Amino acid sequence: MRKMDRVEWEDVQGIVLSGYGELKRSAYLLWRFQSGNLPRKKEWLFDLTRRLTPSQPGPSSNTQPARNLALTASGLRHLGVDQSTLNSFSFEFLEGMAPARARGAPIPRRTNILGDLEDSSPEYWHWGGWNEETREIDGLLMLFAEETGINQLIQAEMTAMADIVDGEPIVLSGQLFPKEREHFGFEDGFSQPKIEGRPKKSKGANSKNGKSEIKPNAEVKAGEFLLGYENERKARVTNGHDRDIRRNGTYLVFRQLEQDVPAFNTFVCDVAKKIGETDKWVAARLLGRGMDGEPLIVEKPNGSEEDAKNNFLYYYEDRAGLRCPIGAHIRRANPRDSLGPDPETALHLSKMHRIIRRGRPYGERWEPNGANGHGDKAERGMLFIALNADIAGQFEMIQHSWINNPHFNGLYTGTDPISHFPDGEGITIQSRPSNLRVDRAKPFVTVRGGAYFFLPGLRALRDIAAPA
Amino acid sequence: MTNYVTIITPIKASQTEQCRQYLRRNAEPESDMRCRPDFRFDGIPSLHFASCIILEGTHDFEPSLVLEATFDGSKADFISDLLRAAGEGMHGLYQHCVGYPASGLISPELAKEYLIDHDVGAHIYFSGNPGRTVAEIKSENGLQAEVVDYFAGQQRRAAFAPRLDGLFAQLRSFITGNADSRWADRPAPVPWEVQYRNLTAVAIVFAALAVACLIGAACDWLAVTYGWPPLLESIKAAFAVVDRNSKRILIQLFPNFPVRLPPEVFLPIGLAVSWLLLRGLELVFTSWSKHPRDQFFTSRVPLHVLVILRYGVLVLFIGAVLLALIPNMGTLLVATQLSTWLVHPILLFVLFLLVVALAGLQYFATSLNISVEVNKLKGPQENWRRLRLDLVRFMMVLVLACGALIVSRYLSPIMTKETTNWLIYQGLLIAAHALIGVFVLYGLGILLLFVAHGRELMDKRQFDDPIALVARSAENAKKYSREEGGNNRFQNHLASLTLVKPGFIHGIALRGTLFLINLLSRFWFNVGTLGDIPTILSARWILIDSGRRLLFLDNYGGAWNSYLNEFIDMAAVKGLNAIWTNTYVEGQAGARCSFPETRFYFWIGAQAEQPFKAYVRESQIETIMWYSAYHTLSVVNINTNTAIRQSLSKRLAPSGLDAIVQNL
Repeated sequence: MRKMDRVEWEDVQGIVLSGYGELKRSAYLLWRFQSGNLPRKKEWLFDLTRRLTPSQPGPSSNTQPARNLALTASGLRHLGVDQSTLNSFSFEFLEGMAPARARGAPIPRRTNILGDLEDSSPEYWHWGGWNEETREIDGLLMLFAEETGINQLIQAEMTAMADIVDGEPIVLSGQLFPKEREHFGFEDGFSQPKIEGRPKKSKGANSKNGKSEIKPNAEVKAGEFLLGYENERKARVTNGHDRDIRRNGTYLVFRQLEQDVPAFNTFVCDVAKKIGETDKWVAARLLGRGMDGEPLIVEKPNGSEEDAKNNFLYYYEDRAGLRCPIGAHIRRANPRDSLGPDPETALHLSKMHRIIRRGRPYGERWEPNGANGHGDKAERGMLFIALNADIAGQFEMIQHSWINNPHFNGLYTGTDPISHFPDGEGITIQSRPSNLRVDRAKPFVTVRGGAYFFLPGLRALRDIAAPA
Repeated sequence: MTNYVTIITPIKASQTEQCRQYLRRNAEPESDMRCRPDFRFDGIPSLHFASCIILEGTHDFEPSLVLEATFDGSKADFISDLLRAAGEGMHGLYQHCVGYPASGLISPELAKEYLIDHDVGAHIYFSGNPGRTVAEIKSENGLQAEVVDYFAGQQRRAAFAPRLDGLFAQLRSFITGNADSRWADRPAPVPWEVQYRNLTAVAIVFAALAVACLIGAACDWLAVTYGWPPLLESIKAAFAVVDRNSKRILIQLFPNFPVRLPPEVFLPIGLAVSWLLLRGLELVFTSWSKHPRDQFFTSRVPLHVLVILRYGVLVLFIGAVLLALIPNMGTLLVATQLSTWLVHPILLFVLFLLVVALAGLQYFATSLNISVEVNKLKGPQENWRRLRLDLVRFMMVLVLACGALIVSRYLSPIMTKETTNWLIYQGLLIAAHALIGVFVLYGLGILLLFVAHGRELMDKRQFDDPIALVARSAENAKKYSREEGGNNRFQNHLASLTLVKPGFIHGIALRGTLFLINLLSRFWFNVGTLGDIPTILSARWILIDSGRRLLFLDNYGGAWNSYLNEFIDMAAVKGLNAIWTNTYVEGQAGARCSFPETRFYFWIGAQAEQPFKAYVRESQIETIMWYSAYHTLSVVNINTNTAIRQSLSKRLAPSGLDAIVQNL
């Protein structure tokens, strides 16, 4: 057994370890820097860095607001990071989530990989897309607070950056609904990878951290989520240099995904009628879990509350997908031990393609006929956030080769039922005597914006903020 | 059988760019694989894949045009078809090439001759669906869709769906009743390489053993010439040693054992114990993790030696049991006195007990075999399971041996004791020769690996580390912008050109490796996967420029990133290393970057993910034109379709039926 890396948690931003579940409100400030005036920007960054929340020590109380900062490649450039340092970052990050498309040129490869086509095309994005005016995004400030404190927090941070921002920042607000249900009605956030060497839970940690992974030994190496540490391939990205700007940082994928709740509900209802099952049954087969997160596979309790509703594997229980369909969302996003020559290898392989999810819903809940004043027309969805050390190997791979792949695990047609991919072909629900076929005419999710960010370590931020 | 051409023709000076533009404008199919009027690839019913790339001119090499095609039937027929479907296009294209006959359009025979002359074939050719013709692949896919529709229709109409076999019987009659799909009722032809795959493997193993025997015999002869005792004497001496020691140890262990054991059993017991010791040791060396990153040369070699030794001891054990039979053969046939008569029922009872024991052991063996299918076992548990399984099997052998000892006493000897003894010893001699031969061959292999390792150490000084290539990803991105979108959403093409490292060792090693992998992919990896990789549709490796460059052309399913991951994270990485460790690329400003450093030829190498991927991107050549006859299918889809079709003409067990329905 190799020696385990000791992670410098005091240098890692807090969102890597915590979703701040007690802080129900959040805001995401997206902005563009003014050009020039580098000293002022560095000053702002220096002050802000002192306010940012590290992973350790955790917040002194559950109600203390949290702040985390991520920057795009252009943001780093604006803060005076030179080109040769920038070149050490991964190509996906430098190129961005929606690389510019010249008029008449073919769709860029990355856009194809992410499946951002038709309605989800960067052409129509509210921010970060191909539109010149809303394209460039330099930074993302994530703010978390209780209901009462969020507006004040936003105001304070907006004021602090007022003289370096070009125009008004975009403010997206997220919130956690009771039981962390997202808009389609499912409880979310059960399966998160456990990082090897994470601090043992103290009393300050919230219960949300608890919903997690499979077995105690199913920990994933820190290098899969933090740059500078050994990953599952026994490699590390940085050169081991303490002052490497990438050390203790990670890439942050941010996407604004709009959800069409009425369309989803109608679809589930129609399918249920057609095959003679209940709505709940159908919805669970699409997602792979019941509305309350109950998995469709029988769990093997291991006495740990941490693993509740997540303590299961597929191979020995449900190779054929008769309980949890092969194309269900959770089976595509995390195939566990089901995708590979044998279950042991498969489980090992799947550890190389995990992401930490820190997204939150935005918009108000949908109620039939707009009972709460937020009807079919109102916008709502998920502010999707994923943390990973290799965007191409983790987020993009999951997106392209699993979520949006009609040939996933031997299937013929169909993509993830709740993905944004415009694919009119049938979804297969494994059943006997024969499989069920369900046609999804149009996706229920549309991409409205997105960008690749880097979530630096605190020391790296201080180094960037240091006067040149 | 699927056939292929790789036509490489030199491009006229300074016409490279024009040639590229011509291909882009006239040859590359538009979206949804709509072929251009000048290149109606879809008009060639036998064509699976076609692609065009341009090898840029460098200081050493002329620029050239590569046309690759995979098709059914003969090369001559295909070229004729191609010139018929794309005559003008081909004529226009090859105008850019040196030596193309000016009258190629009016006399296609000349054009055909030119193309066939420039075909270089392939050093390795692999197909994910060997023997399947385009027509079969397409119509079987249509059939699958029909079957799915049929099943979906049954679901809707019937309130209670019939049972699986009933449903399947209905489906069969639906297929045979329909004139358009009746063809599917007859089984599809299977190429003989696929049909006799196991037989071929067994034949090759026997041939290899025969060679090993000859080598062993030669070694024996040499040893005798130099004054060593002959091998047969050594075997007898070794038997004597084992016999003596096992007797001594047994007596020491059980000084008061009530039954006096016959003297001939000590040798088998001694050998059995040695076998078990070897097997235990072997399991220690078996890596507890199946992860290829946990396996190294230093742990694999002792493991292999132990496996060979174990088989050797097994053969000796069988010989020893046979030897033990001989002295008492037929002794009970002559025992007619009343006092010995009692022996018969006792022996009969013992035999009965042995049969019962055998059945019990068989039950254990089966349950141990199955346990791996229904339960997840961790590494150490798995090794314990294997050891237990071995023990059970071994007990079975012992029981059988005991049974044989008893039964042999009722069999009259067909030969004299001397003849039998002689025969057994001759058999053992042959086995010993084979064992020695295998060791000699294995030793030679290790020696070669050390030679390769020597080269690796030298290469390290001569070539740059490919990690430098990571920074060139922005420049290289232009070459592969077509991947994973449009026509390439499901299937992609990878063309890679690398330079072969100079030197005799690299040249011969690369050729040897290519030769072996080609044999493997034709005779063993012909059921859809290469190694563990289930995504390759059709791939070829070609040494060009008299062995100075290696061209790799590959049609694969899915995305580039996950495709390469399949290689570097699984066992196939060894094959990949064995080929490309002999190559390098020229990066920026003539920097010579080696393939990521391998250790002992097979290990590490491409497992260094980032440098390896950067190396592939650097070596990649833009695919300018690409055509696939079925660009939305995956290898797994195609092979599943075939299985569905074959199931229509077979009687299937319920589990087989279930496997078929699973895919509908």
